[in-house]
Amino acid sequence: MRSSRSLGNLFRLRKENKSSSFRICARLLVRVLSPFLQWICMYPCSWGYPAIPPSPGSPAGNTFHIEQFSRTEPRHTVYLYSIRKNTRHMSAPGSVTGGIRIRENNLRISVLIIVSLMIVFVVDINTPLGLSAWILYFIPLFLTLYLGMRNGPFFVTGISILLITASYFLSPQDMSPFYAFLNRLFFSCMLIASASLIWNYKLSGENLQSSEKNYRILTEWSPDAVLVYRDGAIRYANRAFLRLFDADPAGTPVGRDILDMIQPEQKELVRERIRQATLGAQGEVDDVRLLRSAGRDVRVDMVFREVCWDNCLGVLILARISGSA
Amino acid sequence: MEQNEAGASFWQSFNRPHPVVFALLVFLGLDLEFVVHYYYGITVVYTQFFYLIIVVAGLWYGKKALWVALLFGSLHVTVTYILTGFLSPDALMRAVVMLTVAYVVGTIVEQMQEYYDQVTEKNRELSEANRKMQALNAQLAELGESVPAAERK
Repeated sequence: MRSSRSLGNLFRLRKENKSSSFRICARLLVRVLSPFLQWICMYPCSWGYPAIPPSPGSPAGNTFHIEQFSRTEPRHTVYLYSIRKNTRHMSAPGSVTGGIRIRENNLRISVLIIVSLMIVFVVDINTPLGLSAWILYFIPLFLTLYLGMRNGPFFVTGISILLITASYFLSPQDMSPFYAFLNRLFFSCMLIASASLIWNYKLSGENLQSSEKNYRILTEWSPDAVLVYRDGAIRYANRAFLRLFDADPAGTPVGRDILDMIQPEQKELVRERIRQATLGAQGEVDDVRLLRSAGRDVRVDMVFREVCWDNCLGVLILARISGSA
Repeated sequence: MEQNEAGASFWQSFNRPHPVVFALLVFLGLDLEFVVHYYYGITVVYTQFFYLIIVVAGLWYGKKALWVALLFGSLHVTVTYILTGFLSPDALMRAVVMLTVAYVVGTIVEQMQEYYDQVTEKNRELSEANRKMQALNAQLAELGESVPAAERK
């Protein structure tokens, strides 16, 4: 009864998530084993990157730790951020930048790789030399693509070769040892070649990620308030914009309408500039009074231009304080 | 940022599909099957090369690698059948493993590719936004200077 229920759950899981059977098995395996390994490891695994203890008050792990050193200039505020990377998540959970996330958990992937290596090894030593069960070592090798460790493919290849060598002596012999040796030697070469290809693939992905991160930092560091407005709502806002509104960094203006933050008399003008910007014009409005939730309002100069954002046409707005009201 | 693309090495060019190289690899695999297996009757060692072709197909074309695995797997089984006169479990096992490897490799690579495509798209958007920001910044600076000047007059 119990097993039929679990099979039913498995079937439902397959139907709901439309996942492959491999992913379902992997998830189940990881769910069963991860508590033990988390107990062993205590901390999230961050191979390939320096482990950083979480700063007080910040959520532990999987975040960019952003430290703020600010200095004020007469017309606008400059923020300097020191961003330390803890894991490969592209942005902090509370960030307004809305970075792309990758579902990556080095600990779980490491466990999955180790478990699959062990399974293949056990199968290999229990099958005759002639049966190429060791070909399944390709699976843990390719799982390293999910791992935040650049040289992961080579480590797994090294371990696989060691296990292949061990199983050469442990497997029951049913063919010429010379041919079996040649077979395994040739396969080891294939594993090394594949590891090089995977390593190269990962490297180009990392380059892309670092490039994206650099662009994102450039925007985040901008002393001017930068926001992207599309379909009647703010889609992106940088830190300077948050500061401009004395906003709580945990709260986000993303999703709100910029027009709701503008003094009623100037709304139409700003609306018109936004409309013109979507048509390709580069517009500006000076001395716009922005209504702040806490305290005094602020007067800003705003410039508008169209921009492509999330595959849709939006308006890029830059704002700078023109003087306190 | 642009440096990454400019400094792309020979190795990095292998991340993109090369149909000619791939066709050559498939041709070489077929050649091995006919010469080594069919002509010389050797059933071991050479099949490892098929996995390299499947891995390359998986990296370049995702789950389409299944078709390559199906081609080599069925060919291997057929040639074994022609040579021995019966369906060898060993050959069938190899074909199944080839399909499994192709499926796993293709699935993983497609998932990663989907993520990389998103990053590439975001990269392009952010680069465009940064470029436009510079122009707007200059405009904003002009605006900031022109207002006090007008007030002075």
